[in-house]
Amino acid sequence: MNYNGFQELAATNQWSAIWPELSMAGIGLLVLCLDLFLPSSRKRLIPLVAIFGQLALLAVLVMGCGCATESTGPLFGGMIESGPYTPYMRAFFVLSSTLVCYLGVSYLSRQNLPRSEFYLLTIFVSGAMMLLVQSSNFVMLFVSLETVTIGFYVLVSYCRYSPFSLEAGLKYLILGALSSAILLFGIVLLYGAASNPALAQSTTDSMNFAALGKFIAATPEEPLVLVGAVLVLCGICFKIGAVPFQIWVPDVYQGAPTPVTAFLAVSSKAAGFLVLMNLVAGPFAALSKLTVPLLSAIAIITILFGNITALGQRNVKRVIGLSGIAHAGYLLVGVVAMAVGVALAPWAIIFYLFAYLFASFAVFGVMVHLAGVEDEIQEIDHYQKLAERQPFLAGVLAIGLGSLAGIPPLAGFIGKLLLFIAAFQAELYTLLGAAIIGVVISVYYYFGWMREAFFIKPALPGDEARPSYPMPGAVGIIHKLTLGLLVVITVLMGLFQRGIFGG
Amino acid sequence: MELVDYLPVMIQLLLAAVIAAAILIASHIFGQRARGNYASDSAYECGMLEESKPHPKFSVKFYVVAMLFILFDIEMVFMIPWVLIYRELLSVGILSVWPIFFFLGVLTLGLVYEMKKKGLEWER
Repeated sequence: MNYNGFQELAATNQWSAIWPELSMAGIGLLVLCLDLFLPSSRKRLIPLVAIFGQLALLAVLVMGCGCATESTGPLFGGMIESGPYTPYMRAFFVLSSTLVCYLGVSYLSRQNLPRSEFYLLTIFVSGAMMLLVQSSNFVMLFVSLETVTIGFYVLVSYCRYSPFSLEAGLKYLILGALSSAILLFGIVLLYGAASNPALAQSTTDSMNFAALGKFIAATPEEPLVLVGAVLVLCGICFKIGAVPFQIWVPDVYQGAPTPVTAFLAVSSKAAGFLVLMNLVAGPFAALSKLTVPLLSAIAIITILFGNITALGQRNVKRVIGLSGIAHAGYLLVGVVAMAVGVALAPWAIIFYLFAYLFASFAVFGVMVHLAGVEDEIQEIDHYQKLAERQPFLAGVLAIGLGSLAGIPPLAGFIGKLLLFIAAFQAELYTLLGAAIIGVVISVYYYFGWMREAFFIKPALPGDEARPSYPMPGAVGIIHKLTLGLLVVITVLMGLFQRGIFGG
Repeated sequence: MELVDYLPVMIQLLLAAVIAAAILIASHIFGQRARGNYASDSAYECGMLEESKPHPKFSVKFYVVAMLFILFDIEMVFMIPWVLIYRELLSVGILSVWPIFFFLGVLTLGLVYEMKKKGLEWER
């Protein structure tokens, strides 16, 4: 047997290149050890360790973002390859995970649920997402994707005593497993086609994105390749909640604990999009005749479906879920523009994801504070007269929702603008039209939510019969600071974009 | 491998189907007919009346232990390739010990977690 190959592979095992992922795993293991060995009176330390550990990691990552990042080439025998977006996405996932842990603190104490496993799973899932967006091999992609998904199965059904949470967990489990199976089947077809020695450019390393890309470029008409690529794209569309694979989104978003809903909406979606970008620009680059019309059609129906179905919803978690489908549609427009070859498109997507992160967590922060013990039943009516009773929360809500709707001068507006510019450069006028119609529709339900908080409705006959919702207590100073910071960043990202991504 | 090489498998599958069909058809043709009654439909337990439902409920502890067993079993499966190739890797100067020690360490931590969370206590 030839061991030189092993030696070459071992030389690419640069553990130092994935230090952020290793640190995430380290923080997770530390939380686990603390949970095991601390006396129960000191268990309050655990969330602090989880949050401040990740904050420290985030600080180091953000400082590293400014430096020029050299592409390291394929690592671990072609399993991992960090691209130009990797530093930003690492910071994105760590930030999102920190905020989920932060929201989890108040949520878990209210629901009286076991604490440390929540932080542990969140941190591990985020670490797996950081690996997922760098994977350049289908084996690595699938393994890290499964780490993410299995973590989410537990997190979604974390509220074990709530039938809603269990129902959401079961639905997510079944549909997630189905989507993983579809994805895997696509991978297998591609693997089989690419290792067929009768075809041009066949390869022995047919799971590798680079080798697979070369093979597909040589034989783009091979039916197995086309079917495989479509199935892989379908599997990813399941994860990002694009129509027609959106069926799980509203129920799971409603039933999952609110911090987990935020985690699903922000991190899980972002990871799915980064994978989609890697695939569309990498191995499927030669298939743009297939991917562009397919993803365009999906984007149009996703935008319209998400926005139109969100119109009639009264439950705020369902509104967020369905509007999240619409956001996935806008982002798909960016992916299509990227497949056409617009250089701006990937950066527009990343900017949009960051804007979405800050705005979503502002809204979720308000939701977690206002939610009662029954977490699933958060109706829009709960927000009545919010501006009168808690003006700070109402302001945060307004800015968060405004950014999600894309109102200038907030970050969401610039994100949408960048995506639309990318679509315009790619000459995708139909998509652009659908996206603009979608944005106009979305204003209705975002502003309906805001109206509930700000404007006092005239009393109608029969209003006395409606229950009035008790308002929770005042907002703590830390919660105020966190939400204030999110809002300030949302506004600043809308005003000053230069310097965030180096232009 | 050509498709022809799988012919024995095909023959075996056909044979199995033919034999099963032949037995069923033969018993249908030659067998004695009887009207079904309670006794003939019930599960046969040495002539005794059945004592419980045919699908007994297992204690959930059984599943916990079974799951833990499968977990550690599969983790052992991951070790086997490493054991087989360890010496060769060492001879070409690749240190594969520390990664596997880390892996084992995480496993041990999982075991400690299970014990601390009383996952292995039968009487509870």
